[in-house]
Amino acid sequence: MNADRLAGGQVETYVMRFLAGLLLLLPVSSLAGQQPTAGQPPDDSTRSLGDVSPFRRLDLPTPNTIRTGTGAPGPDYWQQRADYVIRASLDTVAQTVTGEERITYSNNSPDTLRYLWIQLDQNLFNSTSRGSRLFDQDSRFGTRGAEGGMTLTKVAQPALPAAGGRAAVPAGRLKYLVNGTLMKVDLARPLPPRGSQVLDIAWSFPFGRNSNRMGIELIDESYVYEVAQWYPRLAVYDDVRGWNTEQYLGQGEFYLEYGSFDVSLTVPANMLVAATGTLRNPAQVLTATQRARLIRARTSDSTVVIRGIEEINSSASRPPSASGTHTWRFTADSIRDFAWATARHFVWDAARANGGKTLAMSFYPPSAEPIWNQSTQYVRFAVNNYSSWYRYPYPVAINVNGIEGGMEYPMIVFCHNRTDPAALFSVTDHEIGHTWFPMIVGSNERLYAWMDEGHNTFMNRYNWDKKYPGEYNRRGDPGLYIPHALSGKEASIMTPADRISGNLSVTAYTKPGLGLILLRNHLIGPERFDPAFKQYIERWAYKHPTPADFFRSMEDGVGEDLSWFWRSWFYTTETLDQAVDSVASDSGSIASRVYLRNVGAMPMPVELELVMDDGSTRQLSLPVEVWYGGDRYNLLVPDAKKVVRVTIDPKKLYPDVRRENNVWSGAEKAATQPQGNTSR
Amino acid sequence: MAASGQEHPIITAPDQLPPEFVSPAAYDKPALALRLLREAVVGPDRFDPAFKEYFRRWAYKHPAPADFFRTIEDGVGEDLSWFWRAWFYTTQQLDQAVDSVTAADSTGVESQIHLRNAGGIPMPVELGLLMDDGSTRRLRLPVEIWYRGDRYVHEDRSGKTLVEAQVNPDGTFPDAVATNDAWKAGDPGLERTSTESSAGDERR
Repeated sequence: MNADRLAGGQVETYVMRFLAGLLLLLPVSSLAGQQPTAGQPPDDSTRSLGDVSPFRRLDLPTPNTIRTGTGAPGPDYWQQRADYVIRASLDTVAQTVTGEERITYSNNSPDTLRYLWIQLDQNLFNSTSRGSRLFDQDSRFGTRGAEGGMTLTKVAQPALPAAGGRAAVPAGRLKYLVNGTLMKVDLARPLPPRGSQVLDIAWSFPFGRNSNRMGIELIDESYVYEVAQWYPRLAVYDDVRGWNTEQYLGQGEFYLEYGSFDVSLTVPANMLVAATGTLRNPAQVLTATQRARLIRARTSDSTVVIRGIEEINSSASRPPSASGTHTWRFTADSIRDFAWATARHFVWDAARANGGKTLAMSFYPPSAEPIWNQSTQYVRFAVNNYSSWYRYPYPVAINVNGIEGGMEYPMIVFCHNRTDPAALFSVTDHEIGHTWFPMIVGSNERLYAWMDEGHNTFMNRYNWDKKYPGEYNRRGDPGLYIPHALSGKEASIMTPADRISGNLSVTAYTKPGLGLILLRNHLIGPERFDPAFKQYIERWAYKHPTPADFFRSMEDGVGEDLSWFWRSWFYTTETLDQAVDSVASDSGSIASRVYLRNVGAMPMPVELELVMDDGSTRQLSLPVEVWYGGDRYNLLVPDAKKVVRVTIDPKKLYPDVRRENNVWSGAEKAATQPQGNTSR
Repeated sequence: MAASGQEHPIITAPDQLPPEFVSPAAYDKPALALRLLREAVVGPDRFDPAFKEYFRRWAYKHPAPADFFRTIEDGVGEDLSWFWRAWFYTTQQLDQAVDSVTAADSTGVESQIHLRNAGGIPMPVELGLLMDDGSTRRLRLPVEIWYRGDRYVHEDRSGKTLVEAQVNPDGTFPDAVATNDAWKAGDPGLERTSTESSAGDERR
């Protein structure tokens, strides 16, 4: 057993054999309590449990030809597609949105569908909604005073011609049933594999007083409208769970199908619109001056003002309209959502990003101008830097200032801060970062918040360091995670957001972000981690990965079974607590033993600093495999110099929750015996 | 039978059941569970088409329990893991309780009704309230109130003084313990608070 343990260490084998013999000369007392004595009956307590080692393979779903063992989509991977053509108008008097849409839903699954599930997220914003019972009425996710919800005025389909032996169906209304934020639509004719179904839906909804992730704000005597979760949209039908019908309860975000959008938004003529996608009719909705400035911005690294603060009250800053309204048309492809914002008094600026492929823009009310005049540069910074993971694929990247604190949508984000440039940078950088997760890599946010928030927090950490080198960096900060881990209130990262009662920001952001930072910086190293992380994005861009796909894809890329890490860090609330129990080295011997213990259940490599009796120091890095044999490891130090001080993780690379037991000092602890021999 | 301590989970194979348990475990309890699911959890308008879809899909075929559970979820549009687990895989009991009612503010008209899921089965809560002017209110709280643990506080903001609060007022659910179902004005505020340890972090 000694030899087995030593084999995991850092010492040459022949040296170990030689020294193992010499160590027998050490007094027995210094080894007491470390090993079961010979002849002691084996411990039967875990015999019936099979392999309970923290290093056993993580049980992931059996791979198949849809999702392979390498973590890549397989040859039979499929996903559904939803294409939207939407016409909507904003009523600024009643403060309502009224819309009509035609959805073309393509069934790429091998299944025949008899009904479709549609998401009506606005139904959360009502005092009778399920979410209203779950979240404190006055919290961010509360719904006090919101008596909103979607009013459906049409759920129909156009005529279906006879096809494949199936009879023609006349145009008509479809039977539907609303259940909270979901609606089941019964199809007039079953939708076969490779078939498509057209749905025509008309609806309206009011803006509530407290509608999260969107909403209205009266600022500088006019309203800023931030419009999201605003159109009926398909629930995801996937190979893993069939229909994903989790209700929108508030804390859990979204899971959406990819497709194209062609959206026409009619608003009062004096309002500017910012939206997902490419503006298709600038000649109708912008002045010649603004169009010229936009062209200039396309080749400018510095911010170009498109409509300045001094122009917002000038009628010349808007093109004339006989009807009193303008209709703005935007199109976009390969996106999973569409959001927009509008206000009478938006200041608007822009600059090029992403090598000229992308226009970075900001829209904000006048009182935000003192710090928001930097917003477009923050957007550029995020787009340019995050493109090193996967190139930003969209034509625009927009930041809008309004009521929402910070929320991401494809090509457009909503950020509220108007007072603190660093805080505005931080939230902008985070929300733009969401372009990669979940806008490009379309995971299920409602079930696995960490797959977008954690991955994004991970990327954010490096961007913050780049922007503010040497300053406190809260992204993935162990100092935020450790107190929560010790609070006894931690939920595992795998817990769906709506079931997390404790600190969502730690569970869904800080801890998973820190996990990836540890993996990259210390466990794997950037040279192996970065290509694997990029490969994960490439493999799953515009697709729907599950946690298993991420874990497998990373293992495939870095070439390492990380079961122990995923299990401990993502599936449990185990903590990291490594300890130096004692050191045995006697005068006259030519080696010392350092007795280490993994007190917490979380395995992690061990960083060690040894101080020898001549004052010299040695740094050692022990691989995580030292814990293969259990929670004890004794390190042989083949040196005639005595070890007088041992420090675990002197640079604090790992989030050890108890530093008191990380240090052993010969002077202080000469008489200290190792603690009880509890093994897992 | 549930109270006897001898109950076997529904999922137990019939030959592994003592003969006297076949009737409750294979007949009565699953029938009761489906009736509750239909009438009190998802409602007939969502349940019935899903149940019919199960016949349509599996007529003259060999469904497994998972095929049934998945088909019903597909049809009603809801993850019912919590329901299948509690009713079909365990012998947990349903026991909802009103622990106490406290004043939410100094005016005394806003009340906090402290509810507890004392048994292991999570279910929606039907709550009957009697106010001091004689008016009554019926509320239905969704099963999601138990997402964060076995305690839930409902705030009544009707502006009237509460004199009685009762869970399961119509006997819709087979609540195993009736003595903890109601609170009446005059009951000590915390009299019913259990000293048992909370199972709040056990995710169901």
